[in-house]
Amino acid sequence: MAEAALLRPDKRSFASLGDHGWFRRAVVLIALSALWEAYARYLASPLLLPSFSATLRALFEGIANGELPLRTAATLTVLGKGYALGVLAASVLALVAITNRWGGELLNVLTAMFNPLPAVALLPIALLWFGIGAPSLIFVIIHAVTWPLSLNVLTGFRGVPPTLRMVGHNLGLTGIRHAALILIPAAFPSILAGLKIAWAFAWRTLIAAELVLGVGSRSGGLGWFIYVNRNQLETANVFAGLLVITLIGLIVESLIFRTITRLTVERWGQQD
Amino acid sequence: MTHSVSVLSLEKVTLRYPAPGGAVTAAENISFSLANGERLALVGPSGCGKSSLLRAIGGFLAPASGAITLSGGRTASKPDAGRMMVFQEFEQLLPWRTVLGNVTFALKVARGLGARQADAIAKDWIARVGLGAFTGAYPHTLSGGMKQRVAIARAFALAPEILLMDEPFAALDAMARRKMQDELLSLCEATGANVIFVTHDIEEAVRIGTRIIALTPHPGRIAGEFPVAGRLANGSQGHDGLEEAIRAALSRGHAAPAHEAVHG
Repeated sequence: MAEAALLRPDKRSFASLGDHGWFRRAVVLIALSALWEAYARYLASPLLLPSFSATLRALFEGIANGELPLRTAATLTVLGKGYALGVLAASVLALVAITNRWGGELLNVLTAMFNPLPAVALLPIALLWFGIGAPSLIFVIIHAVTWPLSLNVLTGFRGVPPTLRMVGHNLGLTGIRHAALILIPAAFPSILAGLKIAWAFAWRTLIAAELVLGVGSRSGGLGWFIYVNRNQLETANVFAGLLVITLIGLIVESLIFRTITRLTVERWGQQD
Repeated sequence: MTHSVSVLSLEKVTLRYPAPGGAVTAAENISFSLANGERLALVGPSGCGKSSLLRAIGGFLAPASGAITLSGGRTASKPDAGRMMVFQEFEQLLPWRTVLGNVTFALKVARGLGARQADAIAKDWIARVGLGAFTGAYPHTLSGGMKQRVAIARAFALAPEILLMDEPFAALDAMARRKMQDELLSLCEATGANVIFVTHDIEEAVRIGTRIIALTPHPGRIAGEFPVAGRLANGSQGHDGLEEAIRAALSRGHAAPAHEAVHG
């Protein structure tokens, strides 16, 4: 990029703008939105496919009247609780598995059994045990987070080079300090990958669960918002809800995790 | 080696590893000592137990029998920075810390130094291994030779009683290895460090060591001990006879007749 600019300092042509990733992305986004708008207008059936502009309008209305922020907050609250508890459970499981052979076997068996099981499939059981409400959702999120994350944490710890462990011991580090100063940072690439996978599972699971289950109208989240608006044939609102889900996913995955990755494993040259 | 104070002595040390189908003896009945200011090179083919011996001296491996005694009668039961190891593997550096961070971390953790003091010592040693311009670099951006320099700077910065080096240059190309040997030698001579240097390369052993112990494999046994006469300015050329003697001892399994030829 810098070289191209040096070669042609006076020319800000489309071609040189095209060297920028953000510019190409913006162009593609605008083109897709225009296509959407054009097709929706041609179809002229807002019930089936509201136009891009109508969706944006619904989005801003939803934000203005406070409904979308409320639903988003409800979803994120449940997600935060479930994610935090899942991370805690995974940490404990991984710790037990590292310090004890039987613990290792326990984690092996549990992950082999539960990792392939989509979290949503546990929803009926969750409803039976916890009833309709946030606890059921939190339960399935914990399930979605715990197994992939504990597997990754364990892989990370087991993958710490023996030489690096020895260096830590050579410096007189033992026990918790050895873990905190050597093992955890050394396993961090794996742990971060696990956190990313766990987030992706949790986010998709939660929206799906909310759609199926609802939750009372007052504490319902984005999935519930979409479900209700579909029933009321407010298709533009449905699209606005989907847009919010996409945006949050984008922010977390390509902003938050991307930044953490850039500041840590990428800088350390340890990308998987 | 005339008025030598021993900083380390091994007495009839035998090392065993648990293995499927019974324990494997890595080294058997090994006795030697390290005098103050000495550089002892342990040389031998793979399987001669030289790395295991180094690990036992480092406190990473308990001997099945025999005793490893440090100065003041302490036993080498646990690793500590007084016997700092330099490994062959490049991954001995913490990848999440910079060159400077790797050295200051060691000083803070093992020596309990404050940030400013650790910084000063670390910078000094990094400059002395020729990496003054790379203090802020992360290990993955360095070449293999540079990584080993950082590990050497880290070890020297801790001012260990004994420096334990496990084939630190084995993964480097011949040119870099030669250069690193010379630099290590001048650091050792400047500091008067006590060193145990493990290698499979007889030429390297002769270049680095002030004394050499040759070990034969399966199980590791001492085949001969060779003092190195004063280092010659012209590299190893004058040590051909010594190298021959070591080679002969290694192929024979013991060293008795060759010993005389060494001093010639």
